[in-house]
Order: sequence, then C-alpha cells, then structure tokens
Amino acid sequence: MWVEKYRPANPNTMIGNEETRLNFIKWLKNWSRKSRPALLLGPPGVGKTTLVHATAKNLGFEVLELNASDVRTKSKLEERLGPLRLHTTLFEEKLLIFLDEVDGIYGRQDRGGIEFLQDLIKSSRIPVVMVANVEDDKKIVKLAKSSQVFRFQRVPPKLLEMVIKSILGREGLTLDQGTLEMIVRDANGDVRAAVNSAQVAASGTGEIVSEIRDTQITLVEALKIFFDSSSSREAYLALSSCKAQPRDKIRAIFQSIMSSGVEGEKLVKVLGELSKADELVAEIGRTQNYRLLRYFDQILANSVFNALQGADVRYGEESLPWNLQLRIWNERRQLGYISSSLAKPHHVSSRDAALIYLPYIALLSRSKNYEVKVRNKLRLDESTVKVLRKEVQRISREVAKG
Amino acid sequence: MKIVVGEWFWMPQVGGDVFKKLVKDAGLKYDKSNGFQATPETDMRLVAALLQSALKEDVEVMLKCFICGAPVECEECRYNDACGSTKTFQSCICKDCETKEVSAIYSMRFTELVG
Repeated sequence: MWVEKYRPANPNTMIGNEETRLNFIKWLKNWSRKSRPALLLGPPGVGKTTLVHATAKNLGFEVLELNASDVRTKSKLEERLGPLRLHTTLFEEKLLIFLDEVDGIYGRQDRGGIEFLQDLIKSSRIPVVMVANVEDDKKIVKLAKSSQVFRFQRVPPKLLEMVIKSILGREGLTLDQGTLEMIVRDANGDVRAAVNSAQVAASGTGEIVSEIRDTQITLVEALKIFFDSSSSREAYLALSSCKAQPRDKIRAIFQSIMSSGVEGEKLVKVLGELSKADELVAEIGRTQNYRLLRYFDQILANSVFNALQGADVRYGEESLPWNLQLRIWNERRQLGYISSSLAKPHHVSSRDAALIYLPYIALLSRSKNYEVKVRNKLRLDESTVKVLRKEVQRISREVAKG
Repeated sequence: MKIVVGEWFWMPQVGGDVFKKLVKDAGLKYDKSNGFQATPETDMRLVAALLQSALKEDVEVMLKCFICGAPVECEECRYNDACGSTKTFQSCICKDCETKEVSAIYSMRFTELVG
C-alpha cells in the first residue's frame, strides 16, 4: 500500500498543519518532567499518528504504543504502563508512551481506564502522547484539561494534490488532471483517503472511493448491498459502513458464496481471495500491526468483487446442511480438547500442540496399545477417541500421498 | 471583511458578548496592542458566523502561502469551491509557488522553521 510505503519517516516531509506540527516537535524536543502530556486532536487521515512516530524517531525516542485494538481497561493499562510511572529504563534510553485513539478508552462507568490515564499523566517520568479524533467527548474534555492540546485540521486540497503528484512521480505513473482533482475533492482533507484513492485509480483495478463513512449498517444489510453492487466502489462502501469484525465479514461472505452454488474455477478463485484476506487478518493479529486493518475493507471488497464477476451470489447464512455443520463444530471442539490436554504437560500453547504434537500422537495412535495409553492419559471419552481415529486416517492419507 | 489566518488584525466594535464568544468559544487570540489573530486553535467557522452576524457583512477567510508568506488569492484557485469561504486550514500554497519542485521546497521551508 502506498500509504505505508510513502508514510513520512521525518516530520519535516509531512504535509499540512504546519504550525501544529512545529509546536509538537518543539514540545517533544523541550520535554521535561514538568511538561504536560500531549493530546493530539483532529480528524482522521491528517497525520497525527505519523507525526508522533516520525518525531519520536527523529529525536531518538523509543515508542511504547498502545492502540485502540489493545484492551485498555485500568488493569491492562496498569500492567503495561504501571512500571514506567516511576522508573525510566535500565539503560536510560529515551522512551515515549503513545496512546493512539484514546477515544476508545473506557471511563469510570465501565473499567476505570481514563482515571488511570489521568493518574499516569500526573506521575509519568517520560513523555506521554495521546491521540483522539473527537474532542466533544466527555472523556476527551477531561483529558484536554490536564494536557497540552495540539489541534489538527484537514489538509488543504492543493497540498493533497502536491503529495499525490509526488508519489505518482516516484512510481513513474500519471493521472489525468480531472481524475486527480476528483480524488482531491473526494478526500476532503484526508491524506490517507487521497493516497489510497490515487493508488486504486492509478492501478486501474477499481473505482475511486472515499474512506470517510459516517453511516453504520448491520453485517446482513452490508452483505446484501455488497452482493448487489455494480462496482467495487459500491461493494467497498457497503463493507466499510459496517463495523463487524474482519473475520465475521470473511465468514459471512464465505457462507453466502457456498450457499449460492458458485462452482468451478470461479469458486477456487474467490476462495483464494478470501483465504488471502484471512491470512492478512492473521498476520495483523500476529504482528499486532493493527494499523493495517484500515485497509482491510478495501482489499476484501476489491479482490472478492473482481473474483465474483458474473456470479449470482445472494446473502445467505447456511452454507452447509445443519447436521454437517454440527459435526464439523463438534469435531473441532473435540480436537481442541485433545490439543489443550496435550499442551499442559508439554508446556506449549494449544496452537502449537495442535500443529506440532497432535499429528505425531495421531500417527502413533495407529498402534492399539498406544491409543489406549493416550486415551487413559488424556482421559478421552468414546466420541473423542472416534474423532482422534478420523484424524489418524486423515494424516495417514496425507503421509501416503507424500 | 478579510481575515488572514496567522496575521494580526483589527475589527470594529462588536460588543462584549460577541467579543467573549470570539475569544473564549472560538479561540480567537486577542492582544491589546496587536489586535486579533486566528491560530490553529481557532474555530474559523464560528469566528466567521459571529462576525457576519455582528457586523452584517461577509467575512472572507484567507490563508497565507506556507512557502512565500503572501496571502493566497482563492478566486483563481481550482479548489476554491472545495475549500468554502471559512477555510479551516493552517496555510496553503499560492499560484506563484506552485512549481514542479513545490514538494521539495515545501519540505525545505518546514525544515528551516524547525531549525
């Protein structure tokens, strides 16, 4: 993605909000224990997060980041940040606590996150930087009172055009002036949206879309619109208007496709795209690079929409007969039980037990004596043993295939 | 009335209530010797609305060119309609500075300011 490839690593190469940027750089440069924490407020896509990372890097700070995808209740915040309230690091390296999207922190009514944060602000011996999109929220008003506020505004159209032209030049691509102006106008001061749209337009794989969506619809509504869409733009708008979890979107699309009778190469192609999207979600979870989730809807919409061209798919919940679904669910549950039983004595995670240990245990269980040992050791009931035997057959087939 | 964002300006008497709203609610900076100044903290939409209603005249918000510092003439700009009359940006680029190297010059100007 261009937005990641061309994300400025230096605050001097960013665009827009010049005075605010300058003030923030000065704040971090001159930070002392008497300084108030920084609260960066402004609409999405104007460079708040990028400015924090780029400035920290430029001034030699290590960033300890907690973003909206982390659980930020009092206990979780205390666990991660508590030790830093009173101590710096062993080697006196410069650290900065960065809380992105603080609008998502829980307040007093639920889990005390905001109260902990206010306490942290008072006692922290290292710089604390917070970022929020909204400022009329009660929680943010509270934080703003005890912070130095840096307000961001949307980026003017001419600067958006300038940055797009610069990226296109580096990519060796061009866009006609009309398209360029349309992208700039549609982005409404959001650099991220402008760059994403420019990439889509320049690659010719889809239509230009704006990332700013205010309406929220349910997953069912979103998928009905998604499958009725006549363009990838409409498909994207439908997906991005629904706040369901990425995996739920993938699962629901999968079920609809399976229940619509898509066959042959088209099915292979679309399932391939879905599995790529699933791998992306897994990668994001593994690397905790939750920032990439911002592009998930666009990737999913473009790839699945293009793969489904010409197929008549309708929203549907049941992809397989219920008895088959029940069997799959039940077997997965039983294999999960075996894996977690194996995990404990071997001091590994259930996932590792399932991936590494279970196939060997299953192969060894081809011997009746060993099966009895496993059965007794893991206290497996008859139905779970049946599932284990099926697993033995499946693995044996795979081994025979080589 | 024209307001150039970032520059000091004077305005006719608007009354205590409007003055308070301009300074407290809209975040317009006031200094006895210099007058008023719109900063990044200022809500320009509110400033324009308050002044239009108090002065019964149109308020035009202008931006300074980040590169040369001159006020940007918006009438000639292709994006004039997209910005609207109450531009909520901190600065822009004037027509004269829109050269091929504008991107590099813009970054150099900012680097100069950082020092």
